[in-house]
Amino acid sequence: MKYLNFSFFILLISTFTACDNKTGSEKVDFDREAFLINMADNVIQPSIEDFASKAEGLSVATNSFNINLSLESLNVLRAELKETWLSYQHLAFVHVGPVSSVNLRDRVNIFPTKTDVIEENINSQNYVLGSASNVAAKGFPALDYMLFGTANTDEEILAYFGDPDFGESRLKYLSDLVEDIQTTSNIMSEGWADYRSTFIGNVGTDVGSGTSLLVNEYNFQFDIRIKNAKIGFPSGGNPRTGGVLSPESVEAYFSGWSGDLAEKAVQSSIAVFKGEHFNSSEDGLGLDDYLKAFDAKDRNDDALAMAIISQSNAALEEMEKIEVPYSEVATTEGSQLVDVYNALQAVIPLIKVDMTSALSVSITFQDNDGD
Amino acid sequence: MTVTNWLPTYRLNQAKHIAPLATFRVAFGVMMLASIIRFGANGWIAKQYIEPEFYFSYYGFEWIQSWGNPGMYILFALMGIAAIGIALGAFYKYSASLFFLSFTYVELIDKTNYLNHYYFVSIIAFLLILVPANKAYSVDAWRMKKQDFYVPAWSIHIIILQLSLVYFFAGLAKLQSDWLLEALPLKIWLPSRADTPIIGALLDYKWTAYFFSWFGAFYDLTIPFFLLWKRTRVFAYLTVIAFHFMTAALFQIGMFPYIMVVSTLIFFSEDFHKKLWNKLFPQRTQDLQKSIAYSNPAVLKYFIILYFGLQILLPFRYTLYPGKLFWTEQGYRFSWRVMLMEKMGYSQFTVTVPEQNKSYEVFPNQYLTPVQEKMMNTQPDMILQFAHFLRDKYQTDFDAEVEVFVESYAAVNGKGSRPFINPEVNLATIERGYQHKNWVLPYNQ
Repeated sequence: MKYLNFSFFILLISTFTACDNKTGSEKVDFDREAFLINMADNVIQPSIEDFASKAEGLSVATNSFNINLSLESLNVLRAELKETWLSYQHLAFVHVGPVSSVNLRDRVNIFPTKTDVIEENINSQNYVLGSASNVAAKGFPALDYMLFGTANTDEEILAYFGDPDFGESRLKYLSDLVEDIQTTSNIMSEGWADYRSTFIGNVGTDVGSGTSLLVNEYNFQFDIRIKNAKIGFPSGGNPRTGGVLSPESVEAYFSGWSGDLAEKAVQSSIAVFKGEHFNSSEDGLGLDDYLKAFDAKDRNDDALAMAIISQSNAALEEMEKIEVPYSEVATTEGSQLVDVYNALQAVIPLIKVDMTSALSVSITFQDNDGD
Repeated sequence: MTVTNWLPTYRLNQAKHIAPLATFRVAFGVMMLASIIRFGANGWIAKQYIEPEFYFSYYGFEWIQSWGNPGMYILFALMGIAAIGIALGAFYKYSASLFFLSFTYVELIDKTNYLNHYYFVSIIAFLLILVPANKAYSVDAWRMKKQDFYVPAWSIHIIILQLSLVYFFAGLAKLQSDWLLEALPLKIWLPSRADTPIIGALLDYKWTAYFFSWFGAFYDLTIPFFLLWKRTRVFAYLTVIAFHFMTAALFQIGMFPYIMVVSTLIFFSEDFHKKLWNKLFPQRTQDLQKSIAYSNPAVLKYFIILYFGLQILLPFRYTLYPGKLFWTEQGYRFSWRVMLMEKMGYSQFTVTVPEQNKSYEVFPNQYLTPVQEKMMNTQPDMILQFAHFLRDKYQTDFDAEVEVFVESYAAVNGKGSRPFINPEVNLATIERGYQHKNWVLPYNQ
C-alpha cells in the first residue's frame, strides 16, 4: 500500500508536469518588486516632493502677503493655495509610510471647516493646532475660509487682515496654518528615504506590506474621502433614500474650487492605479498591471483593471458636466451630484471587493481559515 | 459478564491500554495552553473580546456576552488553568469541563471569530469530558494512589472517529467544480504568497494551485484510512506533518496545523504509545492482565450515537436551503468547510427615520472592528444583526420607528462582485432565525 500511495503521488506529479507543455506553465507573471519600486520612485516620492515644493510656494506667498497686504499678494497667495491643495489630491491616494504617519488627510484637509473655532482661536491667541479640538480649524479648508470667506469682497478681506485691532493675530493664525502644512510636508520628505526600503522590501500582501497599505488606503481615499466627503454628504448623504442636503459641507466652500479639486482627485486615483509616473505621465507598473497579471475579471468576465479605469473615467465625465461650484449644485435634491455619486459608487465594489479579493490583501494578523 | 454477543459492542467495550489516550490528553492540553498564551500575547483578548462595541452573537445564544475587562482575562486565565489540568490529568473531569465551557463560551461571544479550528477544539474538549483519560500517567492517579492502565476501547475510538470525520468532511467539501476544475480559491491565494521562502517561486504557477487542490482533496478524504491501516500509517503520518507544515507556512491559520500534527498521533498503536510513556516513566512498565470488558450505561451509548449522528448530518443541512451555499452561507458553518472559498464584500447602511424625514448613511467602521466588518460584509446573518443593532440604536436616539437598508456587494472566488442583499428590503423588520433568507439576492440575477 505504501507503494500504491507513492505511485499515486508520482502519478499526480506527472499529470501536472505533463500539463506543463500546454497550459500548465501558465503563471502569474508579475514582478512585484518592480511594481513597488515604480510606485515608490516614480509615483509616491515625486508626489511628496511636488507637495513639498507647492507648500514652499504657499509659505513664500504667505510671507509676502504678511509684509505687503495687497490685492496682488492676496491673489498670489490664493493661487499658491490652490496649487498645493491640488497637489494634495494626488498625495492622499498614496497615504503610506511618512504620509500616513503624519496623518496627512486629517491634518490638512478636514472639511467643512469650523469657522467659529478659527475665530475663537484668533481672538484667544491661545491655541495648539495639533490638538484634537482644532482638527477642523486648520489645513486647506481653514485657509479657504480665511482667504475667501472672511468677507464678501476682496477689499473687505484685505481689510480683515489689515484690521488695526485684530489684523496682526489674524495674520499670525494664517502663518501658523501655512507653517503647519509646511512642517507636515517636511516630515514627509525627510521620512520617505527611510521608509522606501521597508516599502519595497516586502513583496507580499500581508498586513503592513506595501501592496496591502497601498490598496487599503486607495480604497479608503476613494470611498470615504472622495465619494462620501466630497460628493455624498453635500448632496444629501446616501442619495438612494434622499438625505439631508448640506451644500456648505463641500470641499473648498468659500473659494468654490470644489469641482477642480474633486476632478483632480479622481484623475489622481486613475494615475495612481495605473502606476503613472508623476512627472512624465509615462505608464509604469501599477495596480492595473498587477490585476492583469492575475487575470482578474469583473462579473461580466471583462478585465477588472479596464473596468475600474473606465468606470472611474465615467465618474470623471459626470463631474466635468458640472461647471459651477458643487455648493451651488447641492442645493437641490437629485442634483447632478447624485449622478456623480452613483458613478463613483459603481467603482467601489470593483476596488473594495474585486481588487482586494484578487490581490488577497490582508487586513489583520488574526487567524483565519478562509471562510 | 454483561458483554452482549454483538461484536461491535464487545469490541468497543473491551479493555485497551490507556497510553494513546494519555498521549492525546497531554498533547491537547499543552497545545491549548500554548494557544491561549499566544492569543493573549498577541493582544487578541482585548482586541476581539473587550474593545468591540458590538458582538455578533449566535442565534439563541444572545445571553452569552463578553465579560469585559478584567472579566475576559480572568476567563482566559481559567481556561489556561483548565488546559494545564487536562495536560497533567489533574482534577481531570473538572478541568476538561471547565476548559470546554470556558472555551466554548468565548467562541460563542462573537461569530466574527468563528473558525472551524475553534469548533474542532470545542468538540474535542467535549469528548474529553466523557473519556477517563486520567486513569494513569496523571496527577489524579498519583493523588489517588491508583493507576489503572486500561480504558474501554470506545474512549479512544471516539476521538479517532471525530478526527476522521473532520478530515473526511473537509475532503468532501472540496469535491466541487470551483475547487477541482478551476483550482479556486488556491489559484487566487497561492500567488499572493509568492514571497514565501523556498517554495515561493512555485506558487505563481497555475499547476501548483491545481496540484494543491487535488492533493488537498485526496489527502483529506483518505488520510484517516491511511492512518488507520498499520502498513501505511508511518508514511501517512509523514504526509500529515508535511501537509500541515505546508499550510502553516502558506496561510494565516495559527496553531491549528500543530494541533492536528500532535492530535493524529492517537492513530498510532498502543505499543507505540506505551513505548513513549515507558521512556518517560521507565519504572512503571507494568502490564496488568487485561481481561475486563467494560459495560457502560445505556444512556452514554445512545448519547454517543446521537452525537455522531448529528456530526454526520450537520454538514449536509445546507441541502435544506435553496440557493448557492457559498453565496447565502445558509448551513455553512460547523461543516468543516476549511479554506474553501475567497469571499469579499462591501456594505453601506442607511438608516431612515420616516416620521422625521431624515436619513443617515452609516459606516460600519464606526461601530465594528476591521475584522468584524470584513466578516460581516460576506455573511448575510451578520449583516442582519448589524442592521438590528443600528435599528435599536437609532430608535432610542430618535425615539421613533426607523428603517434600515443596506447597499452591499460581494464576490465569491474572484468571479466578480455583484449585489448581495436586496437594497429595497427594510432589514429592521426582518427576523433572525434559521428560515430561508429570501432577502439575499440570487447569485445569478
